[in-house]
Amino acid sequence: MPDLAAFQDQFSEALHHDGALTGHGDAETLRIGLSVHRNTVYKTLIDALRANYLTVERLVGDEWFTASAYAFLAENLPEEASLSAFGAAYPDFLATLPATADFPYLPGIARLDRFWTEAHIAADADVLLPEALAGVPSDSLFDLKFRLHPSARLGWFTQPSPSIWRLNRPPAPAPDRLNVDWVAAGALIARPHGEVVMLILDAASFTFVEKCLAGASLGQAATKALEIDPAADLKTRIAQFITFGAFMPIGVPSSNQPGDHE
Amino acid sequence: MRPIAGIGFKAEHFGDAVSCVASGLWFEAHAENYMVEGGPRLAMLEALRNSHPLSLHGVGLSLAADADPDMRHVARLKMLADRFEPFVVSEHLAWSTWRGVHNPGLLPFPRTRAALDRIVANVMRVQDALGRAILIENPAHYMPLDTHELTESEFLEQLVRRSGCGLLIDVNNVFVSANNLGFSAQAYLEAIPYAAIGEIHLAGHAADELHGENLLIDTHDAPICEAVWRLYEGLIERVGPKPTLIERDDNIPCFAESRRERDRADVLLTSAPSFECREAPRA
Repeated sequence: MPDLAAFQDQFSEALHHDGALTGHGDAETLRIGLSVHRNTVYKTLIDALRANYLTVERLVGDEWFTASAYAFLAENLPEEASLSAFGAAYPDFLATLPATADFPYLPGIARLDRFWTEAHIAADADVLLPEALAGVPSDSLFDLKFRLHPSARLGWFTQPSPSIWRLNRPPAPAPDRLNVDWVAAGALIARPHGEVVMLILDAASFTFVEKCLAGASLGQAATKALEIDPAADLKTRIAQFITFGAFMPIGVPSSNQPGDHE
Repeated sequence: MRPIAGIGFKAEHFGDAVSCVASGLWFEAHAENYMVEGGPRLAMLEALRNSHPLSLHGVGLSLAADADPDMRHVARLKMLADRFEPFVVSEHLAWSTWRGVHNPGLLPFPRTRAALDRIVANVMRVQDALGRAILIENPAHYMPLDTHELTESEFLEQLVRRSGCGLLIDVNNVFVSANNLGFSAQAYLEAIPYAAIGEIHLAGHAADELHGENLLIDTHDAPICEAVWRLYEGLIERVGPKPTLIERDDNIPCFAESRRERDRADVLLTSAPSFECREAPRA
């Protein structure tokens, strides 16, 4: 009597390593059937990866993307049956590919696509509204701790990946896909009001948000930001972050994501 | 509203879907796409559930694996079922996860008595956790295995009897499998336990690029073919009207085109001789 576990061991091995099933019938019909299942499994995996890295695919084209996806899958098959968040390791994988050396902004594009996916499926939460600060006495403003929205993701990029990403993330029309100022930049991606949005940050703004994320008070975060750029207009920038919807209402506990550097 | 003929839900159809007032219209959502913490997907499903009956169709429980079900996955399914109160929760007679790797497909296995014992146990564990019976769908077949001990009809009949689950009969899967493995689709549909059928799926298929019509693939990327419509008509004549879903997962047409196929099923269902007497009592 064939053993179910033994069959599944044999089938899995044949599925992923171009092998054959034996002991269950005619070799040729088994080979054809297996190739149908192999095609379906790999098509689904590559489609799931593509759905999570739309901007990468747009920049490199379908052929290059599919080749990179096969190489990625050789070491990174999913564990979870839900593929919504599949491919967390793809940005780091891209950075190791020799072919990426000519496109140093590409791993950053992948990280931003990943931020988009994580922001899109993160927990729902209210955002801090500008008027909520109206009642806070001005002498205690500096002691406030801003907590980032659960969908917020923050990163620093040594390449201008955030600007390139903004021009090319579908459905953007991509008029001139690399026509950007070639400078390092930070990016804050979040889903404060249902849609995923991005703010591109300079070093002072990045430092401010990064310190908030690490639990610093508004005063401490502002001090660190001013060390980076003494001329930074922090009042305007903080108002901008609040309008963007980066923070949760004051006093609401959150499970913050750690910040992340290139 | 009583679910009659439904459409597999696609996010691109959201606006049309939510506002469509066709009588008996319902939607089916793939459970795994909604196993997320928050965001627009869940908000969309909630709006859809507020306007129409909903069924949850799982593709990832891997019930035919020789292993216990992943109870974290079952817990996520239960959260969705508790929140959205679908009129049906369904899964497949297939496996996909094995030794920590998820292979997104509906993979075959030798239908042995030992496999039946394992799958009965797995279905019962899931049903116990969910607190409700589920429907099990017949998969599409591409490889004949010499090592089966039971026909699929026998296997399903015993699975139903021993686990208390119901059946989701995918007529296209029967057609594709009959073509690929060389059996009679009609005879298959006459042998399944009718009373257990809780839902019917209809979908399109495609001929394999290499092997042509000898190897049909359950692609869900085309309209339902006439041969499948004829089998479906014969099936509901025998079993009576059952909630029927038009599935389309690739090459997605506009909502109006899906609606035309669903309306064709609706006409067949509501004109079935036994339709009126099966009307559910109204509250």
